[in-house]
Amino acid sequence: MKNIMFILLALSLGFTANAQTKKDRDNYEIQVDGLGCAFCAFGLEKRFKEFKRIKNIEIDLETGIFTFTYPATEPLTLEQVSNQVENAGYTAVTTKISRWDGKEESLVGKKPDVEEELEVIEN
Amino acid sequence: MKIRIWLLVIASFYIQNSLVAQGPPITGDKAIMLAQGNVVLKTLTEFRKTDAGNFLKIPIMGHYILNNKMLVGVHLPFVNSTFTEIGKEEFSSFDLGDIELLGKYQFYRKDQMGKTFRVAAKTLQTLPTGKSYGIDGIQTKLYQSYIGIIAGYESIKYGISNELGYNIVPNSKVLGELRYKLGFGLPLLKQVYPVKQINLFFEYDSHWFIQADQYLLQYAQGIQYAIKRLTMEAAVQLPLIQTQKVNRREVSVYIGSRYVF
Repeated sequence: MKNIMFILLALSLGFTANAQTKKDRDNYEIQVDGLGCAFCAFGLEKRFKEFKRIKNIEIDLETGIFTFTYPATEPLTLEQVSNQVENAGYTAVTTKISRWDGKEESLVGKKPDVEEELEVIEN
Repeated sequence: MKIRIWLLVIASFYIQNSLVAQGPPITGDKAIMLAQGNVVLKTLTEFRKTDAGNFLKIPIMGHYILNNKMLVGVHLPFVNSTFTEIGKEEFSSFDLGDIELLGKYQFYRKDQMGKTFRVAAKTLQTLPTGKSYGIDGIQTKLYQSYIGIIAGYESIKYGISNELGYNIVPNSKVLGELRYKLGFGLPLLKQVYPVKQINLFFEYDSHWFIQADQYLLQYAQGIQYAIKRLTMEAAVQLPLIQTQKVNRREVSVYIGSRYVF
């Protein structure tokens, strides 16, 4: 009986930890222009893997939507993400971050280095 | 009648699948660089049959992307030459060919959803490390300096690549040439990422040897299979017009692969 209780306790702790892991990650969604081929998407992914704890990378070539998650304990800024797209050789049209606590941030602008074209919205 | 039906089937297949992406050109070049730090190892073996003999060029090529606009590379070719001219004894040799150093700089970029147009400057410096066989593009043992511009449009529907440049050969009165390459790429599979593609390429390659007043126009039909980081490709190239009196080309067959690290 003690063994069963121990297993149940361990399993419940495991589920809690897993739920906590998912909860503690921010979701990033970027509309990227210039992805004219799958090889381009490879270049973009490779550049973003410089962010060591990046996970759940998905790139839709038809829409240019690039999504990934990153630990909320080391949050990336909108400018960091947008600049990384630029560094990969592509254009970030919109960048959205859904923080783990429900807050949302977005950046609109094709040229992150041009201040007046940026519009940061925080909800 | 049967041929017409087959042509229609093939044409409809293209149309149905024309909304997907394609890979890099086979005999041409592209203006798009991958991300900074990428290393591309590739080879594109060429078997060329001419009226002077048969030549097999096996280059080992390494490209390094310095940043999203600059690329440098080195091409180390090994060449098997077999001269079979009528009335002469057959002669064969296997040597290191003319080593090439490559540099590209992308200076214009216009991105839109699912498509991009880019222009890059290119230079290719050929070192006289091969034998002096005088076979252009195979081995000449002549220093050559090529400067050109590549313009490429790639979309998820199709790709077009253009390259225009001039090859200076200081110690030759015949090999200096104006080059123009035009390539079209069409995919046969629905696009997916990670990469899994089969692409067809239709590539034209023209050489105008200005000093010698000779002209060569070739057409290459190529096919490419790409999966994840590996790409394999093959092409057959035939001369359409050639005014050279010697070293006239009959056919070239290319087989290659490339891997992105």
